[in-house]
Amino acid sequence: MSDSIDIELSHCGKRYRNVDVLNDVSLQIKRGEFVTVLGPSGCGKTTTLRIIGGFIIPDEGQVTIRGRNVTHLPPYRRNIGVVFQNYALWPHMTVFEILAFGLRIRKLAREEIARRVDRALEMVRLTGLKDRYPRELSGGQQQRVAMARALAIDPEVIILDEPLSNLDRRLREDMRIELKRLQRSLGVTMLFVTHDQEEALSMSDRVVVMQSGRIQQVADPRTVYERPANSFVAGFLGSANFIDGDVLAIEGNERGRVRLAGGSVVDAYAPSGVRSGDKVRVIVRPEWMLLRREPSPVAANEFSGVVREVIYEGAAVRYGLSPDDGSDTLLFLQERSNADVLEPGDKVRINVSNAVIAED
Amino acid sequence: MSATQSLQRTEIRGRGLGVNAGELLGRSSVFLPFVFVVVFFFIPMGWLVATSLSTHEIGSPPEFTGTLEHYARFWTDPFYLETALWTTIKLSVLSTVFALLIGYVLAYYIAELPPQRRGLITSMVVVSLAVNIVIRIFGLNVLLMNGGLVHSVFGLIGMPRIRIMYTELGVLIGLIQIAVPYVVLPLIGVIAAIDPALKEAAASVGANRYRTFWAVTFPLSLPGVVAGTLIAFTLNAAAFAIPALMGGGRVRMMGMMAYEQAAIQGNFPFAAAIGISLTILSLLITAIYLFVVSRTFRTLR
Repeated sequence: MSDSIDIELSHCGKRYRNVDVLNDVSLQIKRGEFVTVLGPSGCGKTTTLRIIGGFIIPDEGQVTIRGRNVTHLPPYRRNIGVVFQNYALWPHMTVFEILAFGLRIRKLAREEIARRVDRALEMVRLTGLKDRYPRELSGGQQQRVAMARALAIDPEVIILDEPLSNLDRRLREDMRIELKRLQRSLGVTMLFVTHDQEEALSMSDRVVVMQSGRIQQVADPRTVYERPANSFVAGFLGSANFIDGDVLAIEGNERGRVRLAGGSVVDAYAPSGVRSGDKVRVIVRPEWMLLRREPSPVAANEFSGVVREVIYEGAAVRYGLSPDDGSDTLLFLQERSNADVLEPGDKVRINVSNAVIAED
Repeated sequence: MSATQSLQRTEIRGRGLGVNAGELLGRSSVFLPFVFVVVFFFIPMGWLVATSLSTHEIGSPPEFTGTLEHYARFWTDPFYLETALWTTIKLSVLSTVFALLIGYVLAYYIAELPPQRRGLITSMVVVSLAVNIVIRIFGLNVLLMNGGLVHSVFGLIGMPRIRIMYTELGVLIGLIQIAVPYVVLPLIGVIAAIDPALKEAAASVGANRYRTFWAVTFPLSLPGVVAGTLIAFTLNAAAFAIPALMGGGRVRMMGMMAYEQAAIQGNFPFAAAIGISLTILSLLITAIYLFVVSRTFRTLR
């Protein structure tokens, strides 16, 4: 993996009828990187992908692929592999013809085409189906053909538009592993668009979280989950409790002490922009807390509360907790490895083991 | 107890009646159209076949004898073969080809429009079908006659003032004009239904617009091409009004000839033989066309 940049978007914007669908989007993707663009529908993630693919020309900004400015080049002059959400396999062609199409355009010799089609099919572990038509293939097989078509042209980068969303759950999970293995073994740069946070976290080197046409955070999966930049990112990736509070002090190394709305004081991760005295929102994920039955010795980062709701889910138990200080109900998730299941009405002490101050 | 039983029985009987009434309705809804087709299509066709196999005697009604003399006359006389048969095949095939070329461009343009405007222009095509054929022909007449618009423009730009009206060219133009909407309508639906991602996928592997059209759009629009051209061809092979009104008696197509034999010569058996021959000819050309299309594009099974 070298450090050269394969895809670079700088200050890209796109408007439709005066509505910003994309606003000042800048992004750099290194060679061999697997980057996921994650966000709800309408957040601009597909627009971003289509701008890179050349299907949309941005109103402003520049698209560079391997150092070549391609902003105004049509898709057929970009050499980018595209995997479409519905696969977009040509129904009147066999698997061989589909894979060979791009190679014939490149005027390769017949033997070279056959060789490269075979190689692309081997990469996606799909051999012996060359004479089938798309409708004779299962959803998973069609997905592999779509992937092989993108690989066969030996593209500079591959962009994928929710390629797994049409598969059933089991197959989707298998394909995640498969796709990641393929990407790693080929070292090809991939930009993957999805609305599925689990997909984004499990596959990516970096995750780009978007909302309302803007990039909200770009970081590795652990950082976007454990250090979400704002409450949107925290809420979109998994569930989160949002508690209002005041920053009491910032103690070097990005640690801060915050007094929560109810009066309890907790330690929290403080991004560099946060100052002492700021009114902030603190993000606490349901699994970032520990419960102890009362009475127990008072410790730091603790406050007491009552169990209100118990939702048993097998591997885990979800609780609704009411802090005694009168603040809003908190969601708590307990893995079922050891602890007892609590009952509604049980008095507990809530220990916040991790909290993040949101930047918004 | 017995009251309950009788209630149950009534219910069952009631339900049984409902099923019967429904079945009756279901059967009759298939039966009535079936009767219609038999009475108004198969019986007249059978009568026509019988007439074509009857002897013709001036002054007396046709008498069924099973004779093939009328077919023999049509299929052996060079006059009918070279004039009627050849003119019919030539004009109907040519008009279909030109209608396809013009209609495809139109349909492609319309299918690429945003949906609202697509509806508007599609309805304009439908409206052109709603105008009576005779009125459309008179419109063409004004345009194409000697001293008409086309004639004058040709004169102005220094081209020879060729005669169009009452020539084969005039009839051809008329046939194309009639056929274009029939080609456009099925094609709009088929082209508009092609998933845009299929074209984008072609572009993504390096196909420019021209290549994408011939590799993706055109093959996928073939069902519309086949439907449109078949309607256009069968319609024009059997054309009567256009050769009659725009051919001036000089351009003889089989439909017109059958009419002349029946209405002017009073030779119903020969007219019927021409009609049946025309039908068989159309079916034959259609069969060859479909065979060639399915062989060339075997993937459209």
